[in-house]
This record gives sequence, C-alpha cells and structure tokens, in this order.
Amino acid sequence: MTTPILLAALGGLFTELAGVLNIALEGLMLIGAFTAVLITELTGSTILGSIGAALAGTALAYILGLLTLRFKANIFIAGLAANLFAIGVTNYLSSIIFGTKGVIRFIEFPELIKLVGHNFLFYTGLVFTLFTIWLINRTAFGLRLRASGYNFTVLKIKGVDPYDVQMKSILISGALSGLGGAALSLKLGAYVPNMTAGRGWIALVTIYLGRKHPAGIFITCLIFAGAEYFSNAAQGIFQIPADLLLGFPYIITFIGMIVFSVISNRNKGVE
Amino acid sequence: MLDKAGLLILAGLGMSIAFRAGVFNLGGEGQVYAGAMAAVLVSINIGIAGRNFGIISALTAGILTGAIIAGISGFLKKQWDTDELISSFLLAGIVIHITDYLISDPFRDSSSFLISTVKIPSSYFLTSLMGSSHFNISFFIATAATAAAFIFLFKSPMGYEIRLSGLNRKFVDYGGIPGKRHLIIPMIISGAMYGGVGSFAALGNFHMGIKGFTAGLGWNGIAVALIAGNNPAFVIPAGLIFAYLDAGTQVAMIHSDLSFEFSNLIKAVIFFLITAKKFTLKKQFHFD
Repeated sequence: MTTPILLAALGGLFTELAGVLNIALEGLMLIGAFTAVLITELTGSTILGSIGAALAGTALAYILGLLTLRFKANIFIAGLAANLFAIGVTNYLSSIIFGTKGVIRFIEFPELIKLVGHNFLFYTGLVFTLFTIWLINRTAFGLRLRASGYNFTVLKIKGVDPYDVQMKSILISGALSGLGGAALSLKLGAYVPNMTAGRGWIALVTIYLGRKHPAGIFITCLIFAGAEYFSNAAQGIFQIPADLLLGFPYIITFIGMIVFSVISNRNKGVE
Repeated sequence: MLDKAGLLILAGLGMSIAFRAGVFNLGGEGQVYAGAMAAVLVSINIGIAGRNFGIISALTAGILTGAIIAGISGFLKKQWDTDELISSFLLAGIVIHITDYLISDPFRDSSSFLISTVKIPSSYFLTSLMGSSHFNISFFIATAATAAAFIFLFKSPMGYEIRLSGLNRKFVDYGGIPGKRHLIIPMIISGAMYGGVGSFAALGNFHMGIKGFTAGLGWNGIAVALIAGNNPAFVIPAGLIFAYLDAGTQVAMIHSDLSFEFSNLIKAVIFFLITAKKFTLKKQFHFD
C-alpha cells in the first residue's frame, strides 16, 4: 500500500528540490496506471508494463516541462492541465481500445512478481529511496538540483543551465510517478477510472511532512499506509458508509499537514 | 448557455480577486458543492415562508458555507503558514465526500431513480426568464457583482491593499498594512462567491441536490479567472467564451463522433496554453 505514494513522492521530491511546484503528480500517476495495465495485457509481462508506465509518465512530464520552462506557462495551471489531460486521455483511449469507460479487468491477468511476500515494485521503491539519498547528497547533479531550488542565478553564473536541471527533475518525477501508478493498477490487476483518487496530492503532502528528505518521506508514507489500512479495517467493524471512507485519506492528510505546520512554526519561533 | 455563463462569471470573479492577492484557492469544487447542498437543505426545511425570504435564506446559507470552508484555509495560512493551495484542495476532498454521503444516505429521496435529495419547493425556484432555458436573475446578479468587484479592487483602499499584497507581501508588511489579513479576506471572498455559485445552480438550474451535480464549476472558475487575466472587467467576456465553448463541445458531441472525453481534452489543451507567455501578446499577471 505504501509503494504508489512513496514512488510518486520521491519523484515529487526532485521537482520540489529544484524549485518546481509539481501538482501534476496525480495525472502522471493516473497515466502510468493506465499504461501499465494496457502494456501488461498486450505483452503479458508486468515488468514491461511497469517500464511502459514510467515512459508514459515521462512523456506527459515532458509536455509539462516544455510548456512551463520553454514557453513560460504558469506551472500551476499547466499542472492542472496535465491532471485534466490525464483523465481525458485515459478515458478516451480506454473507450477506443477496450470499448469501455468503466473498469478494465482481464480474466488472465499476470500477477506481479513477488519476493518474500512483497512485489518487485515495493523493492523498487526501497531501492529508489536509497538511490535518491545518494543522488541528492553525493553527486554533482544533486548539488545542482538543490542549488536551482535555492538560488536560480547562482547556477547561471556557474555556467549551468538551470532550466536543464529543472527539466531533468520534471522528467524524473514523471517516470517515478508513472511507476507509482503502475504499482497501483498492477497490484489490483485492473484499471479503474480515476483510480489514483487523490494519491498524487497526498504524495505532494508527504514531501512536506517528510521534511524534503527521502527517509522522512519513506516514514511518512508508512504512516499513511497504516492509516489507510486502519480505515479499511474499520469499515468492516463500524460499517462506515463508503462515501465517508473515500474521504478518509484526505482527512488524515489534512490533519497531518496542520500538525506539521504548527510544529515547524513553533520551531521557527524558538530559533 | 447564458445561465452557465452567469455561474462561471461569479466563480471567476472570486478567483480573480484571490489570485490578485497572491492567494490560491484550489477548493472551489468543494465550496460550490457544499454551498449548493446548504442552499438545498435550507430551502427544503424552511417550510412555507415568504418566497423572497426563502430564496434569500437559502442563498445566504450557501454563501456562508463556501466562505467558511475557504476561510479555514485562509486562517491556517495566517496562523501557522499552512500552504493554502494544498490545504484548500484537501479540505475540498473531505467536503465533497461528506456532501456525497449526505445526498446518498440521510437526505436521499428513496422514490427517485437519481441519487438525489427531494425537490425543493417550487416557490423557491429562480424564475426562468427565457422559455425553456434556465436563464434567470443570477446572470444579472453576476453582472452587477462584476461591476462591484471592479470598483472594490481598483477604487477602494482595501482593493489596493489586496493588489499590493499579491505583488509583494513583505513590502505590504513593511508599509504598515496588516498583510496577514489579506490572506484570509481574499480566501473568504472567493469561497463566498463559490458558495453563491452553488446556491444559484441549486435554486436556478437543478432544483434539488444530485450527487456530484456541480462538478467542474470549481475548476472552470479558475480557468475563467485566468482567461480574464485576473481582471474583473474581462471576467464577463471570459465567462461567456467559456460557456460558449462548453455548449459548443456539447453540440459537437451530439452532432458528431466527438466524445465527452474529447471535450475534456480540448479543455486541458486550453489550460496548457492559456498562460504560455510565448503565445500571448499581453504580459500575464504571474504569482510566485
């Protein structure tokens, strides 16, 4: 349950550090979820499906990057557009290819390859967490990434194109969010319209709650997954209506966000 | 189409004031929906009161609901610097699901085939002014509100402070204007407008609460504000264009092979390009 949000949040971390407000995570995840199911069904391989999802996410991210960095569109509106575009294009392709705008399910859908009780995308998430820590703290690219978030002109003076750094960060966020979407749909073995259901936004919040550090993000995602698990379990016991249950992740995230900002605000006062 | 335009103009007005102040209200979807639901609940439960009294109380309920929901995000921003962009979106996520629940369970009309509440008493309908269309007084109210918003933003001291806060909040603080106030006020204004949009849609167009009935109005309000360059003077043409576009894609859908998704795609492309500076002649207002 952690994997989709974790992957998307790690992707969002790159853009966040580069000083790009990426609200398109939701749409990038959705397009990944759809592509993963489509390619897995065509090739019979969940690995190819996952790769396809990452590529699809990257492609949409490229459009986003091109418009915001080259054509100077407002990143926020372009992000909204990417989310709308993802919903539109997945529904459209779904009705053309599968002849339905509803749930896409296959009888013989390959299961995700599993290792010791977890699927390979979970381990991908773990590896990427460690990889991200290394990339951000120990490489020239990581340094440039953080520099572009701190001060744009410093990079220019040093002869590095900050737009290039930001573009790379957007592409990485696209690939990782696409993978996150794949983790969502491949685990279920089906595609449900708009199945990301706010997870991209939750991923964005976990970046702040995790204090913009991969390890922090990982822990936050675990807490969220626990909360989601609890709410699913609670439904069986207390018979909470489905509509309210769907709102539960938003409530948890909202509360988490307030707690975080109260604490960080207090610390600011001490310093 | 004109009835839609009125709603879009109102929603766009609220957003353009918020954007001018450099405040993001992403919770429009929730504020419209909850506002509409509040208006429906009041008009169902108020009993047989005077027609004007009933309509005005329903409107007030809707406007207050929208204003309170948006106000919470503004308050959090002022108090603890909680990002209002994300908090308003999350709050909308909560509110939408609660309203969904209210419509589909406690207040559901079990005799209806729709997932909806009972119809509101017909004496509280906004009278249609144009035959079979839902065109009603809300369009004229939206037009009047546009004039009021223009004067407020450009001719009043508070409007000046709001515009200044959007340009440079530190400067505003330095100049002795309570800048933090202008985090909450624009949020409340845009929330109230959204709440009003919801109530007008409920009383004028739908006459009952249907699950998800106002979906899209929140996002479209943002689009209208941006097409208008956050200037109330241009919100009316922008609202008309957007309503025309919406009606046009629907006609195209009926008369050709264009699907519903396709009209969404067109909207997405417009969103993509609308703020791209290389394509527009006029320099757009931008916010950091």
